[in-house]
Amino acid sequence: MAYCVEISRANPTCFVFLLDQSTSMADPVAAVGDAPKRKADAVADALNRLLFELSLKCAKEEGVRDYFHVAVLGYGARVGSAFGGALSGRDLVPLSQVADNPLRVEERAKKVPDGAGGLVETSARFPVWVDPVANGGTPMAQALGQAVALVERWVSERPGCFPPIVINLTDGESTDGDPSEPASRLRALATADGPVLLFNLHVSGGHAAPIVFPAAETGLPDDFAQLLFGMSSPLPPHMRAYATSQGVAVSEGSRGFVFNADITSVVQFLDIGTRATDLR
Amino acid sequence: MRLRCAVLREPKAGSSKSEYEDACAVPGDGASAVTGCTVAVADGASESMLAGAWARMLARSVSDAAGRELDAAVFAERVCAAAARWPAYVDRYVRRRERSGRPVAWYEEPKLEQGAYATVLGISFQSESGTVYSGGGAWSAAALGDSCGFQVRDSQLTAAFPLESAAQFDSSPHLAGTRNPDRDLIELRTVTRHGNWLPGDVFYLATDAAAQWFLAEDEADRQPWRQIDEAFDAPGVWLGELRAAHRIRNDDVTIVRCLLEPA
Repeated sequence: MAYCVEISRANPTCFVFLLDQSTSMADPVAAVGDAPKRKADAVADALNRLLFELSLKCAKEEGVRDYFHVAVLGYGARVGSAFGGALSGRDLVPLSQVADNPLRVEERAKKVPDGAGGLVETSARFPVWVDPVANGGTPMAQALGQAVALVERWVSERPGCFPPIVINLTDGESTDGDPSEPASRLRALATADGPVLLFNLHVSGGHAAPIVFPAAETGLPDDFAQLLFGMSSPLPPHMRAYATSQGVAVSEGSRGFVFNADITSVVQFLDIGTRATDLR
Repeated sequence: MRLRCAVLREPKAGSSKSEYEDACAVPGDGASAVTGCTVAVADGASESMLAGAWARMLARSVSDAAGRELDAAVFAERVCAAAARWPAYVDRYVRRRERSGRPVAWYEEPKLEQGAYATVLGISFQSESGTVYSGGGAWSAAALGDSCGFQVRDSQLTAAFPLESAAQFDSSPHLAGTRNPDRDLIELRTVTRHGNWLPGDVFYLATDAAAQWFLAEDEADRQPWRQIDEAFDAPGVWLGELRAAHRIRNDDVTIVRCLLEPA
């Protein structure tokens, strides 16, 4: 059975995040209630929060355990590592080094229960690794090509690991050719535990309802949505089970794909799409 | 009657001994009088910080029941007593880290706030003062989560608790937490069992991976207690073989063997 090998420090896996940094990411994202937010801000926030939670999940007394190595590749005016500060220019970084080297740690306001049924505002530390960028075209094919190179090297060095997970966060169509070819090369890579997983998230400024983890092309609004659907891997059983436990409707053929994502579904997508099996 | 306990403990493969996060509390070396004995095992949840320390504190607290009948109320009281000591432990830990020049990092602060979690199981033994069970007595057990106890008599498994089959294990057992423990909820989630023991009976207390293996072996009529008894000489070799054959999950393993023997 695929996607069941345990993830350990001796046998880690990797996450590769592809981050659309094109000019259109400066447009507002669909949100309910809160003040309007740029797509670039929403996606960078969600990614920083995910790295924060991954670090927390793997933190033990001796430090953060390297169950995962992480790359964040931005694509816009340039294609390359989106890490800043001490990690600037690096691709796959062990999680302990990610945790120890945020670009900065911000104090952000958050509301917590006051114990009397209300909420009180307090501040919490929020580490930032990736700043929002919105500049240039959408060279998605080139970004996927770089992901192929990274993941190819990884699986050749660790052929028995939990399959790497590549997550593409975008708001628009590729401007450098058909991305489905490098996407298909990526999905063809595999370890003994199964093929590499490629998930796609389309973040929207519109008000159409998000289409979350569809199992078929039926109902997808246009060719672009169908393209991203076709590029996306099916969700493995443990991720489907986790999605169900979170109240997200999925079925056996559900793909790792969300179209017209609002802020809530960006966060939910990252949570489900990075859900690993047992960490040992 | 005396209770003679032996402990088999091994960290998960790939982890060092200092990373072992199970715990047990048993009478000291050799044998102890049965009456007044409570034996406990605990399994720290690996995603918690200081999970091993919490498991040790919890096992000690339950064993401090010192032979009292372990009903849900007594068990919950022991869990809450351990949790009450936790904040002081964390304060000392944070100060120790500061003194050692390695203050807690930004990712440790929220993790420490989240608290530590563990499953825990205790068994109390009492000698029978009446004449119904010649030379024997009563036992009572309480568990939160999937650490299990087994009673073996004359090469037969006569009791398994709180879980009774290998298929019952899942990845979300009830846990005892350090943070604002709710005594009523702990009582509600505690599974209790009681029974009688006779001289020569052996009790095994095991954390989840070993407990699941134990039940699967028993279901296949492979008398796991015999394998355990033989494994005490070289537990690392025995577990290495089981793990290599994927017959046991790669997890910390703790098995406490308690033999009820004549004084």
